[in-house]
Amino acid sequence: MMNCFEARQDFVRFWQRALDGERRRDLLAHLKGCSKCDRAFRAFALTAPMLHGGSAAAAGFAARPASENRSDAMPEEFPTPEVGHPALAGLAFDVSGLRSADARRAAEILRRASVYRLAARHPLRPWRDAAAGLSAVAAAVLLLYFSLATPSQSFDDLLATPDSISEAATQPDTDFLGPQMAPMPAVSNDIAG
Amino acid sequence: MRRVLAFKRFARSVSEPSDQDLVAGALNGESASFAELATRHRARVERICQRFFSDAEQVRDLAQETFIHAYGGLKGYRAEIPFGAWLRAIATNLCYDELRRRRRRPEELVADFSAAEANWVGLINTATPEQLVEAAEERREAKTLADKLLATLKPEDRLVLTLQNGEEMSVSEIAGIVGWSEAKVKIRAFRARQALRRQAARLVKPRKAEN
Repeated sequence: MMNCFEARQDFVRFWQRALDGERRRDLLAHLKGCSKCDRAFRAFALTAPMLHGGSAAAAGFAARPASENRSDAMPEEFPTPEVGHPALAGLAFDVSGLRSADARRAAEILRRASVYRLAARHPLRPWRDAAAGLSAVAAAVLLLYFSLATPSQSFDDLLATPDSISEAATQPDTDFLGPQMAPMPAVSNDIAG
Repeated sequence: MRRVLAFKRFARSVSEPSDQDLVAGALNGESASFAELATRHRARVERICQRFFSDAEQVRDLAQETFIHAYGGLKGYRAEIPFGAWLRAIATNLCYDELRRRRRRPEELVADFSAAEANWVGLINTATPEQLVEAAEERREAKTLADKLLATLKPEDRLVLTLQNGEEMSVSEIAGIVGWSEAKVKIRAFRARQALRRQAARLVKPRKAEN
């Protein structure tokens, strides 16, 4: 026997006639026996023509005309020629010296197709693109810095001169104390002076 | 079919001046270019306004206002966005403003029913679930009644449901147009559906179970 939760989950599929035989029979039996779910289904039936397309939308009104369907969105399957980058297309026509109107038009077609393709793949996200660019620049600067700036004495140099190591080892390791304080003047015990 | 449509669009974009060309012309002071843009997009803008308002006069006024706003803000238009999508955003926001101005009250709902709609409500209360599914296919009033229920919601609820179900926009598209976060759009859509079902439940009479 179907419970109320399962029954309500099947409302949409029942409305769209996508429920198979046994499940459909279970749902109808549940609706017959459960007044709360029956009321919920009737309320659902009032809103379903709008929320779930329903049969009313299929009848033709309030539906988006097929010719206009998402025409202002970026097309998913645009007939794009395989051009790596719009600049390459322009360059190809510039180099070959084609300056006729047809060539310009062809270049324009390639440019638009590439722009569409790029835009479809990467929708406009200026902040993300700017952040990616800044990260790349920062990485390049760090790489350059570390490749050019060499330390004053490398670890290999230290190993090659054992004296310097021993000298360093004999120094008191008191750097953590900071600059040494001057000795305190002796305090007299003569309180009365 | 989709490929053919895409190809036709592509071919048209080569033979006719594109929206971007016309925008450039309009920015150079060629009023004919903007008139061409308005002719191209008028039907779509009016259709969006019809989603929110049934009064034809109101729809025409809002469509006209959309183009006036577009003309005034043409300098701010960015070419990366399709011109149609930009106009759609303007139209949607104007409709939203208008909805906020003229808020309907739920009490007005029942008084507004036509005879056919009242008949459909009667059927909802008496017919079996199977009969309801069958009947909804043929009855136009099922949709008009659902629209009336929608009209009783808060403007923002109505906006989200209209764009999501009527215009079949995605959550991110709606967020982009209205300027909300995607999370807010999702929450608002969820609450709007709940509110709509609550309104519908007011029309359904309680019934005793048969067993």
